[in-house]
Amino acid sequence: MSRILTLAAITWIEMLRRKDLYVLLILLAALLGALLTMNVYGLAGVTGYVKDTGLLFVWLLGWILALNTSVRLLPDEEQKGTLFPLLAKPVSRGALIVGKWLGAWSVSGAALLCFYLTVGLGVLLKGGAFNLLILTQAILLHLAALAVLCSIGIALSTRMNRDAAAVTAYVVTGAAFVLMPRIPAMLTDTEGVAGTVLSVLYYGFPHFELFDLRRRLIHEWGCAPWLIVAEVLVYGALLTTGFLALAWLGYRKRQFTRGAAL
Amino acid sequence: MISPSPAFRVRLLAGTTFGAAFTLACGLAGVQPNAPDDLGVADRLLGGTRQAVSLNLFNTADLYFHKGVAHQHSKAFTGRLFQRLQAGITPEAHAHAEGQDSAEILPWLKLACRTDPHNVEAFLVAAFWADTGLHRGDIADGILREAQRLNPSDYRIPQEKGRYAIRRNRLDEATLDVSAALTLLLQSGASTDRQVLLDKAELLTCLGFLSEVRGDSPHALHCFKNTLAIFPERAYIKERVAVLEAGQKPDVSARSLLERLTRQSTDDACQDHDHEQGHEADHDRDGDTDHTTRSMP
Repeated sequence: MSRILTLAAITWIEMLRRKDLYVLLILLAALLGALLTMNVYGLAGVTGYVKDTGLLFVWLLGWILALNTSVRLLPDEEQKGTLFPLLAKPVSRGALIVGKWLGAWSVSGAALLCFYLTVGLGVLLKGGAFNLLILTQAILLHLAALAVLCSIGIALSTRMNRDAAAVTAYVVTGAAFVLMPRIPAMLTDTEGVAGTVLSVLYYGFPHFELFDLRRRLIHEWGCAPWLIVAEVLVYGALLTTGFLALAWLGYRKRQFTRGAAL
Repeated sequence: MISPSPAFRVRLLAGTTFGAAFTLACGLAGVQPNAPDDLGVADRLLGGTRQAVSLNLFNTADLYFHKGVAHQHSKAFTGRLFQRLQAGITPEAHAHAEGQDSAEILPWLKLACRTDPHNVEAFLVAAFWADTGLHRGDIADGILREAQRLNPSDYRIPQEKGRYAIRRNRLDEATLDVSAALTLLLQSGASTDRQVLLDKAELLTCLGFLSEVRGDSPHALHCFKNTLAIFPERAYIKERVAVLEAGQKPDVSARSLLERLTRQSTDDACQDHDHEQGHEADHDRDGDTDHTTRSMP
């Protein structure tokens, strides 16, 4: 366990050294600044659009950060050659994958909390507020979504180079987010092979829409039932475990050659 | 006689073909519609993208009108595990923004207007919610003024101003607005579009009632007869024409009919909107209604 935590800590140090997080935070703050200056016919207390746009960007930035961080970790170690002393410690392949995933997830999760805090401050400045209980649920589910995203990034990076893994991860997760909730409606007028493919996608791909509580949060519909939230968290944990297992299967017997280009 | 060489023939053929193509291209360029002179830089750069973005923002306003609940589509299956979880996570109940909640719709409509200043519908809906949802007539007036400045030839804006003036019992102002709207509508040429015909009939009916209030029965009769020329089946107009032609006093006053004609409330908008969602084909099929509401798209 201590080895896994050490590997995660290395990811933290690397992320703090890099500028990604700061750039994304500045972007979010600039966007919120622009939104806060908008005058809605002189009406006070209109904050829905700030919440909506702010949370949309929290999701987008969280998605970018989680995938960019997770797909980079293993290929970078291989490219720099630092993988060899790491595996000689000895650290098992499984521990390496879990450690890297934990690092990517915890860094993205911490960044996510900063993003939510920034949006919360923006909404407060505009005279509104979030319902704290729904916000807690939203953050919990969002963290679970990031866990799944990081595990997908790690799993793909065990089979591809960094850029290919990043592109594939963006396409797959983006399509899953947009397409999955629409498949039941699309199937009403789709038959044959296309219908079968859509059904396979529906049950085979992750349902990220289940982790998205923005509508409840923005329009104050009240908390989601805790039992449902727990079920979605379990679903997230299962997906994460599954993708990490896939990553391990692809990595456990992989031969590395010093200086080999990926 | 010297016969031209094959190379010369090829050059001659190429030159002639180029000349013909050039002439044709010039001719085609001449019949291309010119871009309107009032297009701004953003219009020239973005073109149709502005309209698409504006429509998207307008649809977001609609989503806010329904408190974040999107329109439900029929599904191939229901009750599966993911759908059960989804139902718990995303609200699906039918609801409408009311009172101060309707203020949350306005930023999206304002952005829709900013993105495409010719999206008159966005201006009208924004004015409607400011007036009816928030009871801020001053904001509604400002929105309509801005809309008219940007779209001076669109009849729908003075028509909406006329409705507001009637509801506020400013009948002289209403007569000017309704007349201006009718003039603009007639200037835009003959149209077979159903909405334009409905609007024309509404304007004529309003003008008829306004004339009646002023005591100008001949002009009122003229307006009502023009309305009947568009929708001959409107029974209450027929009865009114008969009563006025007989020189009698109608049972229902013109003022109360005017109020009924231009009555708008958020409830009306909700009912009208839901009606449109569920029974688009049935809506106003027989043209015997001229009660107007400004609902979301």
